[in-house]
Amino acid sequence: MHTNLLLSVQNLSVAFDTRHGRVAVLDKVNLNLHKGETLAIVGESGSGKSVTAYAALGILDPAGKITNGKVEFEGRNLLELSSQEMRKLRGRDFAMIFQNPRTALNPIRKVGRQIEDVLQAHNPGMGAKARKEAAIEQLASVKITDPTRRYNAYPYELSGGMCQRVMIAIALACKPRLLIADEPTTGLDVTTQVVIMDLVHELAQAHGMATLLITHDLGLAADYCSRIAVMHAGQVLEDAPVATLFKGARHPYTARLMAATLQPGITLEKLVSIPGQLPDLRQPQPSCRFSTRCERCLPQCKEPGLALMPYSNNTSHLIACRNPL
Amino acid sequence: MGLNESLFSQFWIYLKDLLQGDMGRSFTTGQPVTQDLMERLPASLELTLLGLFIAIIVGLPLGMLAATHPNSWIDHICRLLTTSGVCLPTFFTGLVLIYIFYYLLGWAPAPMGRLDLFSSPPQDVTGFYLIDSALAGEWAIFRSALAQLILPSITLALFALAPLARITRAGLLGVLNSDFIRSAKAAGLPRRVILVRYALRNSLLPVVNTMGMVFSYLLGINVLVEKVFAWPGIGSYALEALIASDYAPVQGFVLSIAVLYVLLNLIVDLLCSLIDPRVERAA
Ligand SMILES: Nc1ncnc2c1ncn2[C@@H]1O[C@H](COP(=O)(O)OP(=O)(O)OP(=O)(O)O)[C@@H](O)[C@H]1O
Ligand SMILES: [Mg+2]
Repeated sequence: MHTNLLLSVQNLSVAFDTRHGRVAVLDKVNLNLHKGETLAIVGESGSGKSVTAYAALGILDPAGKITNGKVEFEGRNLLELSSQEMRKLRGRDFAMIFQNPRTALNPIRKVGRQIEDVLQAHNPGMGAKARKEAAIEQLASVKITDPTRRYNAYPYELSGGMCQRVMIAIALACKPRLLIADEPTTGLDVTTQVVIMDLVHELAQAHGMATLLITHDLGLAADYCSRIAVMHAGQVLEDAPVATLFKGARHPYTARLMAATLQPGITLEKLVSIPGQLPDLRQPQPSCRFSTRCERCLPQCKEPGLALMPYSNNTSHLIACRNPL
Repeated sequence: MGLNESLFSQFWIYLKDLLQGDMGRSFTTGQPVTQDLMERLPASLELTLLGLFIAIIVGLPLGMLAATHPNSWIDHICRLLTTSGVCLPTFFTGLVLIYIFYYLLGWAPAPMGRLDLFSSPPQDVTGFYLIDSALAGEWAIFRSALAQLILPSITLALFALAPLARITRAGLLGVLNSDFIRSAKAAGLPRRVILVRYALRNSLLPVVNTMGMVFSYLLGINVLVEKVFAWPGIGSYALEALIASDYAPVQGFVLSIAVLYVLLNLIVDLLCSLIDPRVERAA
């Protein structure tokens, strides 16, 4: 099992230096992703999902500092690599796609050229002609019709769904082993969402590529992933296979998140919102950052020493809670 | 001249003459205004273009460095230059430069026109002394013309530098924070490619627009700088005519500046559509 581990994030803490002082955005985040596996990170807006991905890829804002922890990719600690070595891994071994595909592409460069830029960055020896052919082939692989013509298109000439396909083509150009998809369908209409997610899923299967899907939609996570990690205010609160989680979520926050998600059999009236809002991270936080919003909160919940641990000796179901359901 | 006619017929006469390229005659020089202007325009253009050129080769890299190293010493220098550049009136900068480099240090030649007393103008091809003397291979004249040009063009450049560096810095900073730069980083593109091919080209649009604007400011400011440096261009010509209440040259000057503005905007628009495919579509 250990040899199968692709990405391992261990006790990752990230702080941002802002005008209001230091904000501890991530608090000891732990995630494990095996080869070919599909993992979803689910959480409210602002819970630190994107920051986790950026920190792992080394594209964090200069204001963000990694204060603790390790990120291992196939056993190598990425945080010890030089920025030059990291650059060579990005796009080749792991790649990322983003929300708002229209703004994620260079607006004044032909999309074909943008694919070529990635190919050139990672295969310096490739000739211009071979590169162009590869770029067109890449456009065809994401099911863009008439790829030879679309090679010359600018992003503003394409629809949002088309732009996301191009993003996927760019991300997968060098056949990475890990794809991080940060809310790839936010900002697209519902039908396009399904098409794009199916495409990502299909390509990942075809290449045996692991996928880390970042979303705030539990339903989407359940449809396309085998495991779900639930994040809240920079902490991973529960991490379990989809079936386990939907049968018996153990963390009060996960349970509330489920109750707030549309599922078959639940009517709109039964949909419950989660009380309170994300804690203000500029203030010192108790050990469990959910405790202020939790109705099962015990006095010891505020004490230090909270950790992600197997629930009742089930190593695939991890939970960080002192008073689970 | 028809000064006894009604205003309407005077205007009509003026328009008719104008269509034939006749802008009237100057009282002071006794020559047709069109001929005067054509003789002096190259002097003004050579000075203004060189000033703009210096401002661009200093201002763009300065703004770029300031944007890529925010809050470093180069950023502070950029801020200092851009603030002082807009605060100091150009004729004052010109006078200070003359005082330091001609009067105190003696490095610069006397601010007395386009050439020193011992040189004669090169054979007229473009009217730009630098180009004409280089074409004729007369390097002594070239040196003299360049020496005369340096102080006034730096005066203009110091003024033009401020908006250029500021817009480059602001534009590049904005672009560097945008989504597509993040995706370019995530795709592992080299730093240089991200900076030049992705960031810089995208921030060029406002810079080119500012360049056009700055150039038109410079044409106006030229009037004073030419006076300070006794430069035989259209600015000093118009100023002298104004003082002598010689109206035809002033009219001619205003009209030719307006034509230059229009041409300039056309060039800027063409450049913009070269840089950004979306502009072409909108036009
Ligand atoms: N550059 C930054 N400077 C300061 N704080 C930041 C910065 N980037 C992110 N943060 C903070 O980090 C926290 C987590 O942000 P993040 O973008 O990871 O949330 P998210 O879970 O991805 O939310 P969303 O679903 O809206 O994308 C937020 O509270 C945000 O304010
Ligand atoms: Mg996010």
